[in-house]
Amino acid sequence: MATLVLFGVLAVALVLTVPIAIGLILATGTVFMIFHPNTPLFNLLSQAMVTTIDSFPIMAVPFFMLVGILMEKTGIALRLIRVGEAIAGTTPGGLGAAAIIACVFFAAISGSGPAVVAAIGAIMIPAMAARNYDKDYSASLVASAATIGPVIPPSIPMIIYGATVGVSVVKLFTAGFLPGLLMGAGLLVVNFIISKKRGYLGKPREGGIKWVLAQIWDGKWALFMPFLILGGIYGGIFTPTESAVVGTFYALIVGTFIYKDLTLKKVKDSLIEAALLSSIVMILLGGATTFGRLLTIEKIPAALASWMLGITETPILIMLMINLALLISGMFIDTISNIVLFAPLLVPIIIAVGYDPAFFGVIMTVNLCIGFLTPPLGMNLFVAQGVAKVPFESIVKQVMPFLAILIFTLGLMILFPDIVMVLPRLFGY
Amino acid sequence: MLKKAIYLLDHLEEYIIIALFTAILLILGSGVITRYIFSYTPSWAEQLARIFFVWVSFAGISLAARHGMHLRVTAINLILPQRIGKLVLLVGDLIASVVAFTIGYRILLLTISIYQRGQTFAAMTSVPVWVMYVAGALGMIGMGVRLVQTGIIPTILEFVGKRNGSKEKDSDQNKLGKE
Repeated sequence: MATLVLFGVLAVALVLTVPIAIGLILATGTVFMIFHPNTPLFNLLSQAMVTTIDSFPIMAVPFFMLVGILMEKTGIALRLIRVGEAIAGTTPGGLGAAAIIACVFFAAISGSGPAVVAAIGAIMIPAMAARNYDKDYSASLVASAATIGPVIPPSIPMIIYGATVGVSVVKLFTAGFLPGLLMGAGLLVVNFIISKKRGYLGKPREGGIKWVLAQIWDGKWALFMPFLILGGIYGGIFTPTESAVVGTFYALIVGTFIYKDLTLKKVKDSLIEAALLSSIVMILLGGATTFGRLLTIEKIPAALASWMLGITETPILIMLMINLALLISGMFIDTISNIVLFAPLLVPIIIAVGYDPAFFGVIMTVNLCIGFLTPPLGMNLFVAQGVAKVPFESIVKQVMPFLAILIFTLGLMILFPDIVMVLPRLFGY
Repeated sequence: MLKKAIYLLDHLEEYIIIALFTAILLILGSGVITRYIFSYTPSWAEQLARIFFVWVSFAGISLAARHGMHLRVTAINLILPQRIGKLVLLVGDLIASVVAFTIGYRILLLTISIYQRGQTFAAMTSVPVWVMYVAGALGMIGMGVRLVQTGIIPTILEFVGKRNGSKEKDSDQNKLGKE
């Protein structure tokens, strides 16, 4: 009965476009008021609203957002693109490949999706149009490449997953690395094939190997950033939160003294923007934690597990069923909300059938990031559409081959879990 | 004078965010340095940064309500006619503000009872715990106020035909959603 009220209130609230965080507070609060009236249980909710934010690991979220925003406001995107162009510019579809490579590097700095679309797309889409790429194709390519952002660490969804489920963020960050590269490789292949077919030509080479090296050298300050942030975390020198703080200082120094395009006004705006984007995540945590606790009290994950085990006992089929459900859910609900809503429900099940929760964390992140590309509510598509100024339907049509390859790589990871788990095992997590 | 006070109040969240976010950055940054050079970080430093972070977050929660940035599922607006869709959004905002005021009030009650118990932080015995909780109360009540101010009132005025919508809010809604 309490279960029915919990989910009923949440569903009605979500349909009425009540913010998801408020829907969670309303649903859990209603259950407390009906089934546990005049008990101090309601205080659990009020307390969780504050104590879930009072956390050192969670503090990494605003700083990783700040790093990304600061780097966008400096000339970093442009330099990353030049490096990508120097490496891949002359092959068929070279500019498209350059955009994908730039997105992969950007992913290792900021770990945010739609922001990457805006930063890389604003430069790349016009440049590709000048070389006779169709605009809707360029837009869908950048939108797809940006989904890698939260898969390659640092990753905000993984921090939230780690905090919600209780998995080491460093382990998740290690596990996300190869899957992100695999997604990038898949996109490069699709871009190559389509470009060859449609005759999107590469640029004539501007110089020899010396010129290529010079371009890479010119991007050194931007390229060093992933080594600083990820090297610090993997090497055990910094915690993720500390590395985010160090990354922020690095971005401030490079932006002010080397690229010389960071003003006090830009820094202030970046602080506010990062705080806003992190707050809309923070407000979810208290209600989500309480929601998760109520689920456990009502033994809902156990009931769901026995229902699924009744259908099949093959772990991989259960994993596929869960992923199908998440792909559908990702069409309508954003990544972070999906994680805080469904991770507490699903993790007990996948542990019961023998999966590592860190593996599932990466799978869930990849799956939900694909949701950035799926209509009707694919945020990356909206942003790319805004940058390229082409009709939404034509982007949706062009994005299909990319969407297919990303879902295919997700399938590969599910079938061969080693793709995800080999690095964490190598590092001994 | 009064005008200036209103201006300050209207940008209160932004001042809190800029001041305390900068403070956290300095505290944690110097913590990393002292740990490497002197192998020492004061234990209160992390706790202080976390209190500031709670304040920054709740200031941001209130400010995000003002810009209409809180995550919501708007799929229903794709199938409804525009005017009815707006009405649904208004209902969503109304429910949200009532819940925000209620939970803000509950956190305030909790803050008061913590204040009466005189609880302090283990890592910083001179600082009472209620200074952290009061941020939650203020932030959620602030969210309620901002929803009324920039979501509910403009939409109602629009429906009775006095104004032409809140364009600022629509454009902000498109900006949301870094994961």
